[in-house]
Amino acid sequence: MSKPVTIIKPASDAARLSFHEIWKFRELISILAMRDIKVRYKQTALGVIWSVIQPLFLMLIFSLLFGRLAKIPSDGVPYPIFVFSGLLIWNFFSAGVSSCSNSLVGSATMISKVYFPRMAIPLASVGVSLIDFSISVLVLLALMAFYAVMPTWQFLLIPLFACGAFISILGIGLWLSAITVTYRDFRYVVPFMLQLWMYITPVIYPTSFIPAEFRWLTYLNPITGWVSGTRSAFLGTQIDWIACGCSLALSLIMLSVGLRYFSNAEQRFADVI
Amino acid sequence: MIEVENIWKQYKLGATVEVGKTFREALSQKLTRKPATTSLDSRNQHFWALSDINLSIDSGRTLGLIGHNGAGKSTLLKILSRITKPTKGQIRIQGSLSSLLEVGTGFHPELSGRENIFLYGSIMGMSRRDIEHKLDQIVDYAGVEKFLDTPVKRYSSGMYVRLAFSIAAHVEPDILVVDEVLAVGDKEFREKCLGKMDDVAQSGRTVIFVSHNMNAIASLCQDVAWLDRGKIAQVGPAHSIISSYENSLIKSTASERASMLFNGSLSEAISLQQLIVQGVDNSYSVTIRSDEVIRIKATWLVHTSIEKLVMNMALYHRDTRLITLQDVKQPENAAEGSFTTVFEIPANTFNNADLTLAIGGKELANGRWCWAEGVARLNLVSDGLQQSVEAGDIFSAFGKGTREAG
Repeated sequence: MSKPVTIIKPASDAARLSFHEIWKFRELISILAMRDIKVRYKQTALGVIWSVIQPLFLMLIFSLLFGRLAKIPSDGVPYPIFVFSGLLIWNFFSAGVSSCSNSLVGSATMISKVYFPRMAIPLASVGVSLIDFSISVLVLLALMAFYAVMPTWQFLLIPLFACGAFISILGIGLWLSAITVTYRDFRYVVPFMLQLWMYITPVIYPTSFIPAEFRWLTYLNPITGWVSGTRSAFLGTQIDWIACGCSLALSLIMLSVGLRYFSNAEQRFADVI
Repeated sequence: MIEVENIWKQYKLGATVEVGKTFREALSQKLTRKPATTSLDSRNQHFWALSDINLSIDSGRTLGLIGHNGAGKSTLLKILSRITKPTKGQIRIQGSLSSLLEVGTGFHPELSGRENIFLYGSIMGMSRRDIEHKLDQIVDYAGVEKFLDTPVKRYSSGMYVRLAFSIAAHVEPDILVVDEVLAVGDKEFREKCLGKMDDVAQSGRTVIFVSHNMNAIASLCQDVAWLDRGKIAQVGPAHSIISSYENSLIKSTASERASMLFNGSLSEAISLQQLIVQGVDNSYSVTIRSDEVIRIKATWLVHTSIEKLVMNMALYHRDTRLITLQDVKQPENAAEGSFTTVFEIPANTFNNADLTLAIGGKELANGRWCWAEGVARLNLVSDGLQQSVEAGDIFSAFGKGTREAG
């Protein structure tokens, strides 16, 4: 009977990610994600309702500030629906990136005491955001019914855009999670960065709000395509496929850079964390 | 089958400083291309936690790793379990390996026992089907049937540890690596652990076991490797290596022994300065007439104040704890400075016996503890035939402890 042979060697700068290894631990990833989801609202009175309240209140405040007072145009749909459909992907992205980047530091004891592919931790940390995203989709559908806005066939494209956003989250989140292990500065950088990032993303305003000669700049933002795409998919307006293409290309580049950085840094996590 | 070839592991001294290195420092280093601060700075000195380790462990053998604190035992285990990488060298492992370096790592306090079994099991590399299959055995072994759906934060520390060990024990790898986990838990638990590890060894698996408890090592392990300051001092059959290790202990003072043997996070806050057994200062082996009162006096130095501290001592005969004493009835706060604890065991409690002394303390406020086993040997001799106490746990009724400040 031949048994599997493991060779342990010093850290190398050209570490290869073992996707086989990650696949072997896929159950761990889902169990870790389930743990975060289960634990999230333990000992809270309102429980999962928080996932509804938070985006709803944000939507109300934005509608009041930007829709009513600042009178930001909303491509002809009621502003609350407009901003909620933008917040949908944005919140998914922002919550995903921030939990991803803190995930490794938050599991320091596990990393220094047990072996498993480290990538399971940031991967699983996106689970909670995914659940919140799904809940928000239902809330938006209810809102649309309230405002009598009918979904079109484009509604079916939403999972596609969510997948796109997921790639963006991993692209930036994996890199951030690994670098936060060494430089805790990023715990302060990330929330700040995400706050600014929202304003350069067409969440509270439509892309048409930006002067035409500068509009190409928004294509450099890897999340623009997913935000505007999801919005169009809900509201049945023209989808900006160029923005989606740019976002996909940028997200994939970030993901490959992130994976590379992660697999090299991973070897030293236990010594540094 | 494990082949460890020329393993070296280097750490930077003052690793905490290294970790806290800010991005600004790193950035300015990169920009100015200066070497990291000055090389004379102690934080950039390296030290070899392991140097040139060579070991070959055949399948089905049990190997004990012994050595003082900081000798590199845990580092070696971490490398074997793939948690950290060696700096140089190579290890070839044939067969699956699972390690238990700390009991209950990865447990989530809010989740129920059942949920934690799945969580911890999958962290240890078991598949969901495996866990479902072994669920009853795990629960049975841990004895937590009634509390399976209670969050583990409501568990007693004993239950918590039993459940964690039980899961780890049911992973059934080809090679089991166990760090000093027996220091926690009661006597029953220790025996259960040792029994389980013995089962694992008997079933033809390989076991690597780290402990300061020489009796446990002697009863479980066929071979022993003694690590000293990152090198293998001796390796060979268990009994001969253990006796030469103990001989080296005899030459040291009690506080040296204690600092070498202390386990637990509280040992950063408190250290043993002096140990006087029956008026004999610092000696490793003391001969006591069994018709005398046994008096053990320990002087402790508190480095940072400790809330609700109790100090304990215990006497072992081989692996059986015969007696446990606590110095104060109610936990007391300990300020920086020194204090003395005195433990007394009445005359004629023991007959002829060769006992080992363990000593330590526990901070009840936040559960930190320190414990050193085998800081001294008490050799009790009697010339008559007094009644002797049966082996078993005898608590403070058979002795008393006191504490004095200063």
